[in-house]
Amino acid sequence: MATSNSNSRKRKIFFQKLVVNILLLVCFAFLLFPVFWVTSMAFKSHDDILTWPPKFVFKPTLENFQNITTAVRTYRVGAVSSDFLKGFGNSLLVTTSALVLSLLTGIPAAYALGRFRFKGRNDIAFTFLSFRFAPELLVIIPIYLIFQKIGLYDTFFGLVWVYQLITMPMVIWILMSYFEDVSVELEQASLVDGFSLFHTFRRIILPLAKPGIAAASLLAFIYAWNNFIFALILGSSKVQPVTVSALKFITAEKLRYGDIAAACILAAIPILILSLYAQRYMVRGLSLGAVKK
Amino acid sequence: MTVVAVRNVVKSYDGAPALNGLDFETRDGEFFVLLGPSGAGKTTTLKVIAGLEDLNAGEVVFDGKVMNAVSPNERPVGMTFESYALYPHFSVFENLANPLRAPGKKVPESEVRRRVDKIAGMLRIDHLYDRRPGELSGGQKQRVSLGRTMIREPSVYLLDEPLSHVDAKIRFELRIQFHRLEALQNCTSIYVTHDYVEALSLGDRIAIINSGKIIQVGTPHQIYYQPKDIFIARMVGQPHINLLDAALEVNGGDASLKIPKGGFSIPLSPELHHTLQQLDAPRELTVGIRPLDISINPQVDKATARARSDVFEPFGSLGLLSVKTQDIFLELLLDPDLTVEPGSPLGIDFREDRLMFFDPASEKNLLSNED
Amino acid sequence: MAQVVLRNVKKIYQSRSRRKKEGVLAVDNLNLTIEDGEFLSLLGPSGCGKTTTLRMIVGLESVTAGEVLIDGQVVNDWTPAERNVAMAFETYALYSHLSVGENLGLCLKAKGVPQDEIHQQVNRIAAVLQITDILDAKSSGLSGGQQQRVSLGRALIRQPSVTLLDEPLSHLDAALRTETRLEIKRIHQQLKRTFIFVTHDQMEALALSDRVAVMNFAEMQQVGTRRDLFEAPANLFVAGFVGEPPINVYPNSTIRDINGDRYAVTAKGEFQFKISEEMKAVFEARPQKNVIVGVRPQHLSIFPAQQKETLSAQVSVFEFLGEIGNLTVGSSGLDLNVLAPPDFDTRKGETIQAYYDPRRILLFDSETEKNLFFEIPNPDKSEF
Repeated sequence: MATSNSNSRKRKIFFQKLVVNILLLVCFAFLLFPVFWVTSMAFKSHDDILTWPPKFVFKPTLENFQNITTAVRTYRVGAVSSDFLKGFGNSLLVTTSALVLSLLTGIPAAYALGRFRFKGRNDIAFTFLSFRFAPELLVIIPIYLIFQKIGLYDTFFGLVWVYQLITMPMVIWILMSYFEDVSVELEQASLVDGFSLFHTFRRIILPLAKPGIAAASLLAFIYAWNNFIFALILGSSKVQPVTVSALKFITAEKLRYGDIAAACILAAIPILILSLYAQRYMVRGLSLGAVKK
Repeated sequence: MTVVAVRNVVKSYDGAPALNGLDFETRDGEFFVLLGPSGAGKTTTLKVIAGLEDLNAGEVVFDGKVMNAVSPNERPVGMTFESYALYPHFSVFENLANPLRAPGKKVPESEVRRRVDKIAGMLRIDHLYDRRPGELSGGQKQRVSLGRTMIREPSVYLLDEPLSHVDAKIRFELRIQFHRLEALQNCTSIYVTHDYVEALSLGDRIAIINSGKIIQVGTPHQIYYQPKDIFIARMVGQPHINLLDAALEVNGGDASLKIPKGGFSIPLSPELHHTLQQLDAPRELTVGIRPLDISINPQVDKATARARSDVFEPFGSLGLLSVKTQDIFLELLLDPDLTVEPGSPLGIDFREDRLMFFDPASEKNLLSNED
Repeated sequence: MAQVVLRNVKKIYQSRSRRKKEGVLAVDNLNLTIEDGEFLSLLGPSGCGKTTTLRMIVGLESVTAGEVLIDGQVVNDWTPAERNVAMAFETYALYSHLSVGENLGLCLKAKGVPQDEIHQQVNRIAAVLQITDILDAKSSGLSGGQQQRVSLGRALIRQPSVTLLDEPLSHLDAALRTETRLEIKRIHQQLKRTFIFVTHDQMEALALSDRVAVMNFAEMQQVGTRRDLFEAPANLFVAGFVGEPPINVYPNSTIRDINGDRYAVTAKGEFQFKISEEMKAVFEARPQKNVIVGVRPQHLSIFPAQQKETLSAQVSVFEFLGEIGNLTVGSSGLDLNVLAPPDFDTRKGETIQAYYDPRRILLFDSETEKNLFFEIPNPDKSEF
């Protein structure tokens, strides 16, 4: 009686698993298809891109990449040099600066919010989060006018400052809960060992918050890097990041799909590298085992 | 060697008082135990003494100097935490060496090595230097935590329930080791626990804490044999003390305690009767007698009370015998190798010098003197 | 008759992952007979297989190999209901939306027992367990001790042939634990039914049981009465696991001839224990290099008595523990724990005599850790 039950149970479990796996595969394919498509576009010649039905097997070419990085294009209206690389450089500069600024100010803020109990703590924390809720289109016009007035239009400083609306909430919210999770007794042990709060923060708390910092940095970087509206409206040719310079590929002549696709691929590379690097730090359970829960 | 005094300390969390007028003073070099149930305020007390928590009122005094304004890293205390609080990203060696790396200490590396080796050798953890706290067993973590506290050579040791998360066998060994650690025995140590066995074993004096207040301070013998009230009498002892409703009766020159629900009377010697009279004892009392202080009288007729044996539970060193006298059950501790037939009639006697008398209303011990 | 027999019972949990081919061996080759009306405890550290064994007896786990017999019938394929066993769970598992009375009566209702009969039985069991006053209370609002008794009542009301209890006392505070333990023993004495009790607490097992079955690493180490386990433990594990304060153990000891008598001597000669006549025979039968010596604090006394041997040592630590005293004496750095009365008056460094009966000196094989007493060809079992 017992054995026959377990056999039919085993079969039932097997089928359940099979169905679930198939569904997952379908979702996976669905979600990743755009990535696959854009990647293939980047390596196709312009004609290959436009053929219908779409070609899955084709002769790959690097001309798109060449176009966007080096070529000087001549049109009937004049010559335009590609400033994709310049945009790439701007993106790196602005995003990294914004992130660094957020970390320098956000980490202590997150610690204070996570550790201390004071009046208005929850309100302040929520205010920081609310910055992410506000649609950028809502605030862009007032900011534009103000920036013009105070001369921050098309400056690195201005863009970095505005990007805080994106990066700071991320840093504070992720790290706030991380600091709450680090047992207060570890800090207390360090104090009793003879270290001041500052040293305790540097030697004990910060290293333990590394996974949180890595996670927050990664997310903040991604959102800042991908930002379009602020960059478009508040910046011009001087500070244009890569998201805006990709617009250039929509020319009067034609939509340069290949160039856009290649630009997307190149723009995604820093994020990929950063993700792989940050993953190493996002190891959970770093503090488990040292402190009894 | 420091005298630690806690004077009328009040500490509240969100309006609810955790420490409510806490007041005690240790003696120089004493091993002072704070014993109380969970939630009594024991850990809060240690943290206030260490300066890790602020207080709302009162003072913490070391050798006459008020420490309220002194930050924790400047107080000469060492503390072990119930959760061990070992730094997870440091090796065992670095955890132990940490106090020596405090800024302003300027300890050369060779000296660090020497001191760590000495303490680690004493605690038998010197083979674990390269491990991380996550790879240690409970007992090992406990010793690393202790080592880290000792290496600082503090004047006051604060130990927060060090044995509560360790298994019985290791707890036993570690308890003996606590007795032997010179550093702990010579310095003023404040040890916090909810386990009365640890308290009796280790304390030079024990302070019973409940609801943020100290209710009694005394030597282990005093706490065990002269508890101030029923709460303390019940807390200390396993199985707990037998409590009987009694009425004082005087027949001519003889005094006795009638136990109505038990159907017997305990005779009182004239001296004891006189003492009770002097204390203005009420006629109705609660009498307490510990299981070990009740004995079996082989001559049932000559015994103080007649009972029937109910259940006998022999375990390792002793056997617990439950007996029924009319309507009440009494618990006795006897030799575990006895054979007892359930339901057989027995005679029981009570050791007079170990009887305790409590006022039924206030639950206070009538015989205990005020400190 | 409710005798339970386990014959060559084995339990392997199949691994779900494809990588690990082997399963987990939870119980290995278990042979155990529990007599009708006996109170037997399954004792061991966590993970030793005791709960799995219990669940196989109840029928909540399938048996990989071997047979479970109740009343002489093989019940491997029977459901728990068919086996007429009842179980009280560690976590109580009460039906929270029902009252206490309803919880108790539910299984009788399911069997179709008439309403007034249910009432009668519920009242009776409630009286035994002293829960009459909460019969109408909702079972979700009860204290730990009350829930425990309801859980027990629910198991008992079915009048099962075997009642199984899975660590019922582990979530109770000390005072309640003692009280409930006494009550369980009282009930067993009254009802005289077979009880099987699982615990990791050796004191509970010894206090309650007629016999205790000690398990470790999926194997049965020994089944015996309190005296068997104390005076003749099968191996070092049983000797160390059962008994508090724990047994004194001295590995790397040797048997030496001193003045015509045989002594077990600790590694550096710190202590010398005279061994019994029977053990001498073991050594004559086969030469033994190193042995492990074990002697229980309960078998050492500071009081002299007839025909006891003695050894001297210095007092190192004396602990007043209320009901008992623990005396640790030392000799050249090695410790020996001796049980003493709590009011023993002594000072550190004082020399005392510890008295012992040579028959209580246990000797274990250095490699197998088995008690060498069991190698005696015809041991005098009159003691046990």
